[in-house]
This record gives sequence, C-alpha cells and structure tokens, in this order.
Amino acid sequence: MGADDTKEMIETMDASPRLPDITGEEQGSDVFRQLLHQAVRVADLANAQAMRMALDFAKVYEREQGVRHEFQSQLKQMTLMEKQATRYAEDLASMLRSERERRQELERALEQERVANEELRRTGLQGISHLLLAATIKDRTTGEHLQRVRGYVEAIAQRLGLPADLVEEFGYSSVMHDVGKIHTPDHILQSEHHLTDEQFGVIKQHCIDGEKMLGEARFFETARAIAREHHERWDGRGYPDGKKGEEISLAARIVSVADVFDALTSKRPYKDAWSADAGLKAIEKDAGERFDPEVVSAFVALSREGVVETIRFEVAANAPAQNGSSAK
Amino acid sequence: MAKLLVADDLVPIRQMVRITLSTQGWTIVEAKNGNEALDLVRSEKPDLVLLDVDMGPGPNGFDVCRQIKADEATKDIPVVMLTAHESDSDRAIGFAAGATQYLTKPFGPLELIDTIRGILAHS
Repeated sequence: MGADDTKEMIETMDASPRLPDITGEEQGSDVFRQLLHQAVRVADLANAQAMRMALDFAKVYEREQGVRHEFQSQLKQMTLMEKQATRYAEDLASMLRSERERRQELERALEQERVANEELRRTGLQGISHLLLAATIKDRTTGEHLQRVRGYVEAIAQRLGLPADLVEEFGYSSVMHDVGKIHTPDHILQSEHHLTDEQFGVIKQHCIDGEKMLGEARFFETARAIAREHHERWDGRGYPDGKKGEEISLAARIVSVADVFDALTSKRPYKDAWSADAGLKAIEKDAGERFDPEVVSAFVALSREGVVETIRFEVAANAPAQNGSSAK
Repeated sequence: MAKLLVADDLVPIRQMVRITLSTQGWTIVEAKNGNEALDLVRSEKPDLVLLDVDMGPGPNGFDVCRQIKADEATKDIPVVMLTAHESDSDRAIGFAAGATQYLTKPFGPLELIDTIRGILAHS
C-alpha cells in the first residue's frame, strides 16, 4: 500500500463535524456558542495533528520499506557471495586433494622405477664383470686389454667434462665393444697374415653382431652404440656404416682412440708391443682423420699428466700372477 | 593469448573470475555495469564475454548480450551468462538473447575454466 492511499483515507475523515444552525432564537447562549467553537477548533486541531502524524507515518513507512528493500538486496548479494566462496573453497580443496594424491602416486612410481633401475644396473654390472672374468680366463691379455680400455675411456670422458654418471656408463659400456667377436672364427681373429676381402667382411660383422647381442635394454644403449661404431672413422672411411664426424656417438669416438692405442702398445701374434710414446704419436698423427681431434687432445693431455701410464701400471699390478705377454 | 571481458557489479565476483582465469594465461578486462561492458566490447574486441544479469542501473546482461549480437562488428564474440538467475525461463531468455553458454552462480573455478576453454577451442 503506497503513501497516496493512506493520504486519501485520511482526507475522507478530514471534515469538521457538521454543526446545526446555532444562530437561531436562543441568543442568550453565547457561552454555549463559544464553547462549541472552541470544541470545533480543538477538534480541527486534533484532526490536523492526526493527519500530520499519518503523513509522517506514511513517509517513515516508505523510507523503512526502502531500507528494507536495500537490506534485502544486500542480504541477497551476501548470501550469493557466501555460496560462491564456499563453492570455490570446495573446488580448491578437492583440487589440492587430488593434486596431493597424484603427487604421492607419482613419487611411489618414481621410487619403484628407481629400485627397478638400480636392480637392473646391478644385474648389468654383474654381467659385465662376469664377461670380463670370462675374457680373462680365456686369455689374460684380453682381460687386461678391456680393463685398460675402460680406464682410458673413463679418464678421457672425465677430461672432456662429462658428468660422473656418463663417465661411468661410458666406462662399463666400453668393456663390451668386441662382444660380437664371439661369432668370429678363431682362425680369422688370430690370423698372422693379411686378411682377404672375404675374411675382412667376416671381421666387420662383429660390430653388427655386437649391437644385436646387446639387446634393447636402456642399460646397454651406449654399449650398443660403441659395439656398432667403434671402428668408424672421423673422416667417414671406417666400418660398418661409414659414419663420419659427430654422426658417430661420442662414446664410440672415445673407445676408438682407447682401443687403438692399447692395441698398438700391446703385443699381438703379428707384432711386438709399441712404446707408449710411439703409440701416442701414431694416435696424434691420425687426429682429424681416423679420430675425433678433441678426443685425441684430451688423451694427449692425460698422457702428459701421467694418467695413461698409471692406468697401464695399475691394470698390470692387479692382473693375476700368471705367465703371458703383458702390455709392458 | 585470449582476452576476456567480465561484466559484474560485484567486486568480489570480478576478482574471483579474474584470479581464476588468469591462471590460464588469459588477459581479463573488467566492467562494472552494462554500459561499461558495451563500451569495452567495442573498444577492446575481447575473444569472449562473461555477463552477469543484474548489474544495477543501465542495461542488464540480457540487454547487453542482445546488443552485442545485433552489432555486425561484435556479433561473433561468444557470450557466457554468469548469473544467480537459475530458472529455466531465465536460461531460455539468455539463449534467445544469443548467449553461447549459461552458467549459474555459485560457479566452480574448474567449471568456469572448462566452459571457456571449450568455447575458445571451437571459435
């Protein structure tokens, strides 16, 4: 109900009482007339007062309605914001919860993988030491050759600034560079004569066989590359694929230098052992042709620092006491 | 990177929307009423518009949506209604006005992000 209705209602009552004609014959009742007029004035006043109050009331009512309306709309907004904030908090909580669960799951998976990797690594390393042992039992010089190559490879890799885990990986992988030779007939391997083309073809096959033998495990990835590529040359004239430069993996480029140096400085059926100096000169001469020049520089530096000599000495000292040709 | 306009008369709602959407790398432009929203749609050419319905004096969200759709220059900008009006008839009004999506308050941050991502992927 609006203020207008209220006002109209009051106006209908805004009428002085209808007085009978009192100017008649009863002249003497002036007192009565005065009293009557006074009564009318008081009634008018009371009426006006009542109307004024009603109007004020209407105004207050109207204002109060406005306030209530304002209040209700504010309340609605606040209720909405409260619901909104609750919804956000719930979503956030569930997001955090699932995030934490995911992270825990991930950590568990990582831990499992780490354990599995460690297991695999131990098994792999064990297999490699068995391989070395087998090689040493068959031929002491072969076992020592592999140990020296490994020593050189690790020293060169470290010298080139590779991280420790790669140094180790290159080292253990280098031991397997000739595993493919298990298929190569002994009469070709130990031939003291120049090889025919056909025999040389059989020799080349050991790189491909070696890669194949090392399977598909990540642990042998570097070993496979080394087996396949350790007879490749920097200038591209090597075998079996004729890769050149950095197409050849770094590990294989390092093994190539270590393997050739040790072959030169070791006694073989068809040749005497060269001195370390002579071997080093031959390696240096082939830098940029057969070998990666950077690997050669690192190796030359190591030799100058006496590291190469130390490795040769240590391998000889650790070798089982047994007759046979040593590298010295 | 997408630019989004959010029109709402309530500061906290605009803040929530801005913080939520900025996690997606989107840029947020804010309007506090219908007229401001229309001006910004024309000057900023956002990739998407989020409209509240009751925004105080001036055109409401439905009106703003109709005007965006009526203007050749802005009619292809997708509009998402974001309102506490949750009745089916209000939804119908929103879609009739040309809205692409109709979200009701209270909305969740993921719901908001997924809806917008879905629309942006299609446009």
